[in-house]
Amino acid sequence: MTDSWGFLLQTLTASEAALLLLLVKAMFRDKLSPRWQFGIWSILGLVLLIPAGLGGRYSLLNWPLWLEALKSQLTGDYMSITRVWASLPLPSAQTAGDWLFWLYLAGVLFLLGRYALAYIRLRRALQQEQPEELPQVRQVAERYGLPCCLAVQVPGLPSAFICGVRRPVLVLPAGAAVDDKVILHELLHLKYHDAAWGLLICLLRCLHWCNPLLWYCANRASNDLEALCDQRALERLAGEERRDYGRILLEMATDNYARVPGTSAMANGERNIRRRIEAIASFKKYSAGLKLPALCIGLALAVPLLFGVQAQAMMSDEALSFRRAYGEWGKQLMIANSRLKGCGTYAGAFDTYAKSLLVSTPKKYYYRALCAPLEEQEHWLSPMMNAGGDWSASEFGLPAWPNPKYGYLVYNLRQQGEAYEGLLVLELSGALEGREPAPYGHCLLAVQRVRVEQQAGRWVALPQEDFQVVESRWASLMNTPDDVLPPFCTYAAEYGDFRLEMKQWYSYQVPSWTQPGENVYIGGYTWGAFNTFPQPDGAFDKNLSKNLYAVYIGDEADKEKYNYLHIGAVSKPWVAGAARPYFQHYSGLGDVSGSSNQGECFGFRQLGADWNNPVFICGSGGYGVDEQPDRYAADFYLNGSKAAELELAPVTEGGGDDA
Amino acid sequence: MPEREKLAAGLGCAAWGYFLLLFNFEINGFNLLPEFLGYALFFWALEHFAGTGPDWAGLKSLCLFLLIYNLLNYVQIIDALPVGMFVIILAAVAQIYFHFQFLSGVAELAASEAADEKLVGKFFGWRTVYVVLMTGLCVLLYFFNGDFDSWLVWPVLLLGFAVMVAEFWLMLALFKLRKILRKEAKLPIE
Repeated sequence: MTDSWGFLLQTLTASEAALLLLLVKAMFRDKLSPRWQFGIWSILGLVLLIPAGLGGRYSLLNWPLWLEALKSQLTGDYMSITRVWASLPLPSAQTAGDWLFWLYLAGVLFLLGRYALAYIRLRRALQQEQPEELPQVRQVAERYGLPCCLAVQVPGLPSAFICGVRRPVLVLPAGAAVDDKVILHELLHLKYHDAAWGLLICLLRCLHWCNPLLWYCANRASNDLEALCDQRALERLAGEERRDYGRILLEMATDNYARVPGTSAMANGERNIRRRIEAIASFKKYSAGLKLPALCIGLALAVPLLFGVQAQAMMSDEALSFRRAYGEWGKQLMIANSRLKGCGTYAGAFDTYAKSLLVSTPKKYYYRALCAPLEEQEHWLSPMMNAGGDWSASEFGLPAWPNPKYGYLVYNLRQQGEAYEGLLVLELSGALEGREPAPYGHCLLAVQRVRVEQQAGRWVALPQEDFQVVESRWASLMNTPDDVLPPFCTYAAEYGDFRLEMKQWYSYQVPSWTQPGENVYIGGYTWGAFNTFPQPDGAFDKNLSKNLYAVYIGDEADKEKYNYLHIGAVSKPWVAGAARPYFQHYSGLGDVSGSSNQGECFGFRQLGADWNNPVFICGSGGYGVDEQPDRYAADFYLNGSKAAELELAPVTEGGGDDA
Repeated sequence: MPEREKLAAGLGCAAWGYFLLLFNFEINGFNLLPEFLGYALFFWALEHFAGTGPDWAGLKSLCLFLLIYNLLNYVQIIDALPVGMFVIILAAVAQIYFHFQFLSGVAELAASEAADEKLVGKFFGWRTVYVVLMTGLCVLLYFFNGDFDSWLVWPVLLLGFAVMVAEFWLMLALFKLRKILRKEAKLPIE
């Protein structure tokens, strides 16, 4: 815990665990043994030792969200996320101005000092007497099969106790006969190292001194420890001896040396004695068979409390509307949620960014904040609180609103160190100012280079440029915009006046097509409806598109000699070290193209009088394909005859015209 | 000697209680075999068993809590509560203890009233299996969180099926015990 917010998160997380344990203990008060009643506190101990919010998860209540919102509300800090790396207070550079944290730390040190001083005083008082092995202690130890230790008799003490963790001694009141049952009780403390448990309880009490609930739980744990010792003692006694035990306890009631760490004199106060007497009166031996449900209940409690079973989730549309109605506090909760949730994957960041552009309601600001750096959180979420939603496309860098029907695609995704860069492509709808609408069968695309990187444990999307508008000769985004986007890689070989080029594009999208809903029919396929709800932890689906072109590289004046030529090619990936792929001979084919599952792509075109350059031969591709072969083999055909067997070698990546 | 007729009726209630825990029959999202009715039957069974052992009375409060919890779950109130997770965990631990002690009590009843050692062994055995499986399922469900894309879906389904098998065998064993007690009480079988 490096600041007061970290401490608050830690202590609140422990408090919810404490509350749950208290409820469960009340539920099983008379049903499960004192062993279980004390043992279950170990879960709280572990919760106190494990940093809260580890892995971005929480157990029962969403303290991280509320704390972040409160922190922003009170301090105006939107730049940091409270994280607890250690359950102990560790001042850092951030702590310098945090006077509350220094106050808390002072309290911890004060209490630790106070307890240490009490222990030292006690030890000094004991040192005035010589520890010795007492026959009575030895006899009791041997009778009940317990470990023995040296004893020291101190005048003026009302009761006995064990003192010390590493070298414990049994402290007895001098000048008074001590009943064997008292020695039995203390030797049981010795056998089960109760002084060490008491010390641990004391340390945890100091760490959370300002939390009254945890202070109460520390007292309860100490009392349960004593009750457990009573249970162990009563199990070894019988009949009249058990009744005697209760009487002796009453005589031992004292508040002196209470709560000194490292001793067993932890809970001999009168109120606790009364509780212990009641427990003794209703003593029963618990069946060994109850160990199973006790263990199962412990497991069912420990797992959610220790492992944090709930993760920060995106706010649903209903929750977003609900938060907007809550004014400033609702805004803080949204900002806190977007800070804490963030995007967990680079694909998720691309997806969330794209969908923030696609939706046309105020929630676009929330989506944008999810994938924005911390310093931009308030910038994106403040407008969301404005009634009426006076937002514009230009605010998001768009020339016009995109068409959400077809979603988005990311092209040319490349890893740059720890970051990723790609081209985000959206299809625009509506007219653009100062530009003619796209002719029928064409569409306008908005293209932007986006970089995605990790900041403060969140993937954020950083636009690298403004959107550029390009016109594609295809009807929609879902056709490969090969005419306007640079390919990811190009393979080429020359023959005569032609260069055969195989261009490959990889497009990426987090799967967002759902059924039912409005179906989108593209290219003879039913795509279902595009779901604009972001998937900040999503993973990309990858699509490969590859097109084979014949590019005329001869003199422009000689181009017409190829008029009415029948031109074609067949290509296949060629693996390094393998023999050249086999192609069957093609002849007499008209204007036709196709592809096969084996990666073969073929096409034959009849050129006209005024043919376009380059000539599109064929295309193919598929989903989930990861094909970037060393080279391609291609048979080149002119006028129905095979003119050449070519090897298409890779040109530099990304070769081709830029958008 | 305790009234066998009363015990048999209680066992019948318990058996039908497990039937309701085991089976769901939904029409338009409305479950016609709700689990809270199962716990109502368990509560009625406890009333019938009262006086036959010291532990039955202690289970009533837990049974009532589970009845109320399952009723609130049936009308979908639990998930809407901000402290829903608290209640879910409390119900989980109550369930573990309740079924363990309930079935232990039934096994002891079988030992004292039916004198069928094999059946007694079955009750103790299935009780242990049921409680362990229930605990495992409970722990897995904490992480599963309804995410059917997660790898946890298979162990959850497997454990869920195993719990159902245990409930089925317990139900059959309870019906068998009821039959034995009725036979010994010379009651006509309905």
